[in-house]
Amino acid sequence: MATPASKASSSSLTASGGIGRSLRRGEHLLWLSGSALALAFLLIAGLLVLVITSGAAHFWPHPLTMADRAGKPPVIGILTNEQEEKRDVEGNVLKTAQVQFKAGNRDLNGFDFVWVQAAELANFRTPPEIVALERQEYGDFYGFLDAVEHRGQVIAQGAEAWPALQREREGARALAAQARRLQKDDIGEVNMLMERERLRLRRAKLDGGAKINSAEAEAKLAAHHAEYERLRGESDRLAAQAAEYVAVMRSAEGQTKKVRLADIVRAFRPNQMTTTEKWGHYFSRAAEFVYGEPRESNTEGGVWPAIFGTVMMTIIMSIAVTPFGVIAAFYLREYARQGPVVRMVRIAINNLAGVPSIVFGVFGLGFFVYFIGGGIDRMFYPELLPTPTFGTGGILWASLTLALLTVPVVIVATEESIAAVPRGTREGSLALGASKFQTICNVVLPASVPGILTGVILAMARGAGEVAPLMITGVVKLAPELPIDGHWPLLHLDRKFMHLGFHIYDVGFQSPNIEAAKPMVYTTTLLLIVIIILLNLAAIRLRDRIRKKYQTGAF
Amino acid sequence: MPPAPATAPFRKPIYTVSRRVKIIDRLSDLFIRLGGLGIIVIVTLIFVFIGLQTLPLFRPAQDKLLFAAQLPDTPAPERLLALGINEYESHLYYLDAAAGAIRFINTATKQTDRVVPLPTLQEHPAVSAYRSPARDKLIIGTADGRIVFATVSFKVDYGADNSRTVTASAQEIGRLEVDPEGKPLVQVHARMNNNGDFHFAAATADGRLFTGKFVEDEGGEAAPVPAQLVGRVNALAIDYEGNRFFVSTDQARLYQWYLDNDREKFFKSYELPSPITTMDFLIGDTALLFGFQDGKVESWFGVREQETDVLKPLHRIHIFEPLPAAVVKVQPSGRDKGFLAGGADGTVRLYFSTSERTLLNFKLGAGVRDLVYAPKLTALLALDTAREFQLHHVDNPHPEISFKALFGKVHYEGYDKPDYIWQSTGGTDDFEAKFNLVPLIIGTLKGAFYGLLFAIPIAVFAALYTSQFMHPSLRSVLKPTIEIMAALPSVVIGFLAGLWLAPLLEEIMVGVLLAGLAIPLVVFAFVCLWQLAPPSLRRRLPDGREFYLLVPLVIAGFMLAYWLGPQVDALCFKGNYKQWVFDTFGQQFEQRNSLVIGIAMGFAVIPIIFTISEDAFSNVPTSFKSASYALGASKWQTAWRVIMPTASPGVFSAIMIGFGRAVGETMIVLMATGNTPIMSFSPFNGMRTLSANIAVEIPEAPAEGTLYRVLFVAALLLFLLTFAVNTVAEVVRQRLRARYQAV
Repeated sequence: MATPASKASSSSLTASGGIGRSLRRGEHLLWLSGSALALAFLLIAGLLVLVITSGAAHFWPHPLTMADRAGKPPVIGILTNEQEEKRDVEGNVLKTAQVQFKAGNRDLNGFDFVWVQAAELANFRTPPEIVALERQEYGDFYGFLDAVEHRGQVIAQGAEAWPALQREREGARALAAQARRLQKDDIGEVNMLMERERLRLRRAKLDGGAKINSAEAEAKLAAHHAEYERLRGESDRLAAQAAEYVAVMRSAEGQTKKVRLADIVRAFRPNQMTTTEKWGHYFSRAAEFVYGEPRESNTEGGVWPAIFGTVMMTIIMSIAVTPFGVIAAFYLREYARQGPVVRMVRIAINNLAGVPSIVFGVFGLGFFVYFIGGGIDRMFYPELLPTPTFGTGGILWASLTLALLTVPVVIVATEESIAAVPRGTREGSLALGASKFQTICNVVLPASVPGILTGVILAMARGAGEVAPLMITGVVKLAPELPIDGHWPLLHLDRKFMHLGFHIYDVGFQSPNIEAAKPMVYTTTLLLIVIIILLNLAAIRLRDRIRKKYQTGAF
Repeated sequence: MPPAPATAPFRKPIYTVSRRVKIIDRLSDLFIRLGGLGIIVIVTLIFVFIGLQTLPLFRPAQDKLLFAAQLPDTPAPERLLALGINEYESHLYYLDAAAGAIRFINTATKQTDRVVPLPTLQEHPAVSAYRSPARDKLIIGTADGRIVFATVSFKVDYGADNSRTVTASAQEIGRLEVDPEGKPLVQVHARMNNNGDFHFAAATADGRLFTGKFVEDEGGEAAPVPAQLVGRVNALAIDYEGNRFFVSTDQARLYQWYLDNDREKFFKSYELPSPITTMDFLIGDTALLFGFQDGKVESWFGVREQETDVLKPLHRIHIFEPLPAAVVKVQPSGRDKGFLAGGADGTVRLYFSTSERTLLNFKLGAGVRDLVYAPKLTALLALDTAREFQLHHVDNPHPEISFKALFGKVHYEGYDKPDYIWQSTGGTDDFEAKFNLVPLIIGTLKGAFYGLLFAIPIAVFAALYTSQFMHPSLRSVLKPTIEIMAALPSVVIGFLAGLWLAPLLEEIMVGVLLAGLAIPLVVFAFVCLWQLAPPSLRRRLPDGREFYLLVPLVIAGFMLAYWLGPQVDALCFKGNYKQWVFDTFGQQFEQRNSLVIGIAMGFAVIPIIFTISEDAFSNVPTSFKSASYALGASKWQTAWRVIMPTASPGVFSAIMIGFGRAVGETMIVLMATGNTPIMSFSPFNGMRTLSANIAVEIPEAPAEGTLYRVLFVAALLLFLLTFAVNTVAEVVRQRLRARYQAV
């Protein structure tokens, strides 16, 4: 604090000067303690810069470099890393100079990334005609486009091949997408109806009475089955039609590879793209990242299901945590008799915020999943047993677990804002004849809404970033269905879900091809950090506004 | 005189409260009270629920006597051999030596169900028999030196209404002439390997020993083991590979062979305080169970004393609660490391080897003759010398857990000394689960220690600087930045630590360690130069804004260290510090080591320690500071000698809360270490913490199984630890606040 005294002391220092004297007065220690703060600041700034640069660069179409290798076929790829030569004192080479390429073509080479001895490489160039294909499977393909074929017939070659590829790709993709839609939506619907019918039969059997006309049910099942076959055929036909268009590609090593146009997500020639085109490419991929489905065991494509799961879980959690947190806070502030007991309860609640999240996860698994969920299954879903419905991790249990985890945050924030409501306001209301509940409802609660909101936002931020308890109460690496869909009852609280935080852990640490997955993880990290920082900033802003309001608030 | 103002006449209040409002008020009162209390109850419930889940671990086994009866046609006890029971507990069986037949008894009707004579035994009467505990295979020694092999099987049919019919059958599968002299084989023992081949051993009354191998459908052979024994053979045991062979005599001697190729080469004998009366192998054929004449029950196994030991000398490993009388039978379980022991006075006990627990204890009417542990460990059958059979139902879900097994050093099978080991699952059926939490606790403390080592200096000094020296306008920008740092999800920090920091740190390790020295040096050097700078220049940097200069200074310090790193590496560690670490400490350098954890965990706890300490520093009453300045102290002297001691309880509580956070951190350790449960405080390797262990193992743990409950114990430990630490911190903080208010 810049008190007058401190000013005086520092000016006296300036007057007398001298290193010895300033050391005695501890000037250097002051600076050193400041350097601790600078270091902390640099750590956080460095982390943010790292995540932003690595995460945001992922969508940029990097130029494809081609280089000759001594005695080996040339290599095409994106330059990703370099390593300098390292020797020990005796001059033994510990590490040689190497260059890392992202060479793509996983199906041909068996790997995406390759380290090449720098000494072998020569003649680096960026030929404009190199084509990059982003494929549905096997990652990227880098190479040259020779021709485009339809049913084995070459329809374009040489310079015409590229426009033909772009043109025909649209149609093939559309057909394939139609086939996929049939597969997923229509066939999925029929499957679900069949399953439902089967369950109805089973349940009737379990109940003991033959109240159900089994012949009728069988007929229904058969009808569904016929419908299923028809749709299958239709979808197969479309898929086959889409597969007739093929691009003939040639890799750096001279190998020919036929790629179905329907499998090409994007085709581009990065070495001759203009800046505008590059930005277009960038935003198209960024949009796919946000709205797309994951591909290639989550290492490519989008994270839409994870975003959806995170948001949905956070919302369910807030719905659960807000009323409980607020009621508990009102009880502690307005109803409970202030004394040692309430003080202890308050300490306990504060401490609960410090209990490791994994402990909540263990509780959620034991209590919600196995105890309550298992009970629900036995009572309401006996026909499905032993396959669990609620007796296994799901979005409801995960959200409730996080609600428990974040309830202290809401209680503390609400209590704080109730305490900030001036006593006079409350007494005024009582003096006017309002009952206690009326006062709370009409005076205290409205005044503390911003505080409650702050608490809820902070709870959401904490919940959105938590992973450990979710891992054991319902998050999965790939959920085939979102928790909301068009099937009755629309909201499926028993379903497992995907989560951005878990996505980071899973793709970064459990995927078979971590090197190729890294950029995707950085981008997901960036997205998660942005969400959480925005939530936190909102909470901080809100809190500051309340503080200001009540600091000046003279009621 | 005007009348004195009398007490005001009773007047109706000018307003009334409607019944509706009153009722609503009452109801809401009740509702909020109930709701509030409910929340508090739920919070307590977490603790209670987790605690309740762990309780069954420490409960002894439960047994229920199904029946105790004399069964029909029971021969004299000494003619009743190799008692057995099937896995459905529908039939019990034994070898009736008098009839040379296997007799099956239905446990429901308690009547003889079937009698299957074994052809060889009709001419060569049986004198001894051994039943393999895991499978219903019998090996029978005859009065004329032969061995007969038999198998018992049960066929199960399910009726239309899911009813079960069990049909028992028995069959002789082979015989061998073992003793060329044709003397009775009074002791036999055999084990089967995974192919179903028998390795057997037998002894005659005059102390001649034989071992051999028998393969069903192929036959087998036996060979004598040359031996000079003191006393009569009491018991013998051979392992499933036919290598390790043990014999005990009534003169308290124990003999041990390693038979591999040379039958006389590896031999050792022991003199014991009391004769072994019965012995057998625990499942896995590593540990031997001994029952002694004086009632002691112990398990022994070979421990390598020298690197070259082929015949590992036997050591006493586990000592169990002794029986009151001589032990007449030990019966290992066919599934786990548990076993039954019965005494001459009729005492029957169920023990578990790893945990050294006594799980059951009951007494028969007369001395124990034979004991059987049912194949699925759900029942046990006991026979006494008065021919009474007792069938007990056993509920024994968690025998392997005891307080010692969780927290003490345990000598596990196959290890040369007692140790703390966590290894919950193994590849084989005879795997001994190792549920020792100590390596995990050590790992947890280790992670927290390195995290705090990194975080405390940075956080506390940063807080001191922020609260005491920094300009308020700068402070209002930097404090929210640090708050944002607190909000960063740990999965992000863990990911960066594991995939970015760990490989990077491996490259520039020496440089990073040097930075701890270089940054202060650079700052110090700068301060000295700064004092020499002309006052006009110095005045351009107002008080409290040193931060602007410090950021580039810290970067410069780091760059210096980064540049010096390879030089120092070359100078001190021959350019290969990993080799140096290995040579000096004998330790492999792991990429994901404690230093990575230290930085990552430190990163996660810095904001907490910073915020709370900053609070403590800023709340020191201004009068303290003014007084110090008035006495001529400098800013630093005031901060260090006045503010710091006053606020130290607050700093302490900040550190405690930081410790609590570090202890419970899951994702960072999960992602940035190798997750190996080791007992080492070395900074160059990783760890496995309690929390990461839960995250790794609980998805695979079957609900209500032992592993599941042990993980609940881990969760309970974490809960108690953090709760205690946080409570202490909170109480300290409240005291401090009261002290400030008093001044």
